[in-house]
Amino acid sequence: MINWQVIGQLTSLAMIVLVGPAVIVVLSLRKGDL
Amino acid sequence: MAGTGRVPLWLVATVGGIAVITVLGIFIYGSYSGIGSSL
Repeated sequence: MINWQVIGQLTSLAMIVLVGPAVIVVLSLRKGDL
Repeated sequence: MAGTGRVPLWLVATVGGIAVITVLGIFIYGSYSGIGSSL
């Protein structure tokens, strides 16, 4: 019995947490308007 | 020590900050589960 609910919650949280800095990294690499 | 300025400081700070928040989150989770949760 795998607890899929917790796995989904933690992966969703991880994606939300990591996407924030990823925007900064993408803008920085593309020399965008930071 | 290794040469300074190789790994960007903002990267170290970002990864470190996320790690700190994660560890803190584990402790906050622990306060709601197991011994000490009052349940």
